[in-house]
Amino acid sequence: MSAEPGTVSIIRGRLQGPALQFVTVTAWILGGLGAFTDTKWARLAGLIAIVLVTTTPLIRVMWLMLRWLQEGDYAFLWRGAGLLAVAAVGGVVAFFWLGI
Amino acid sequence: MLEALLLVAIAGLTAGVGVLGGLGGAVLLVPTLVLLGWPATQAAPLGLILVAGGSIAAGSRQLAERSVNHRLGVTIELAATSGAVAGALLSTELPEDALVVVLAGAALAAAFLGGRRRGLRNPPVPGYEAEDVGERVGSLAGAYPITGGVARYDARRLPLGLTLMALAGLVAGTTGTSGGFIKTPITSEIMQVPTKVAAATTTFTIGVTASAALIVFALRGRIDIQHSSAVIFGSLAGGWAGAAVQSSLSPVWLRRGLSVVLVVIAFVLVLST
Repeated sequence: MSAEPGTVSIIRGRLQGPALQFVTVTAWILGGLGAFTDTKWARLAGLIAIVLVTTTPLIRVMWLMLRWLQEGDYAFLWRGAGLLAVAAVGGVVAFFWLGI
Repeated sequence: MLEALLLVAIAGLTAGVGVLGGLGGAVLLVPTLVLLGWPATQAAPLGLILVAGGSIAAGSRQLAERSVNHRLGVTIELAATSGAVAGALLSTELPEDALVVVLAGAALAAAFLGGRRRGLRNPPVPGYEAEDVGERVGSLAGAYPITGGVARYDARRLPLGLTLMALAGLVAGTTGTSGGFIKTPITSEIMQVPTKVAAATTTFTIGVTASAALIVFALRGRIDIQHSSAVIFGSLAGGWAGAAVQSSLSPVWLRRGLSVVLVVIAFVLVLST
């Protein structure tokens, strides 16, 4: 482990925090356009807002996995990968078995 | 226009309460929409969008405060999501109404456990300063800022906590809820993580599972762009406000507020059966 166990993690949100703030403001503006106007461009704005909101939490986990790799905290790196794998299995189950 | 305004208002309110208590908010939004005459099949994806939106909006503030413990988050969510997948597979075999009553009972029990607790379990540690705040490498421990200093915490009773998480996930997966309203009390009352950290951590994790479920709904073409946009607009504002209120509340008041909301959720669940 490159970081000593028990030390404070390097995850301090210095990059991820502003990135999330940017996504929040962008999706909020695009969502407002998609909700209150009814044009082709408004639908596109709404669609981009949906894509942002849907993908950001998954990208956040991948970002964390990168941080854990940097810290050499492999146990949590694998847990992050496991979470994404189980979520993917859940998606397959929902799509093919349950027909959601 | 009126429908969009109504959706924005309801999404804002439910996302605000959801982020404040680490509950997600879909458990409040979906029954409200169904009561207003929306088909449950349309309301369900909107609930997921609300959860993901609230999670993103709260993220930057909770990261800045370092109140989210990501290591704890992926650990508990791994157990809960595994349970949820099993629950989804068993959903046709198990009586849904009875499980909803079980969830309502669990919400009431969690409200009682949180409400009866007095004082502060994790007081500020002398000598701990701002640079000590954050999660710890290789463990489920951390420290978070609190009035009067920095408090240390360590997730306890891991086997029991993770078993309950898997069970909560199983019941949530069977009934189609995110289960955030059970995950936060388990993290806080069973694993003895401070309520503020438990709420912030759950808000992060349920965003991940909502996101994965949303992809399925999108592939099935069950996402309505205009309605979803309205929920995004409301939930991002509500989630941001909920996180702001959460950071200004003392742990004791946050716990009391969470207990009240859990009682409301129990009634909403029973009414929805």
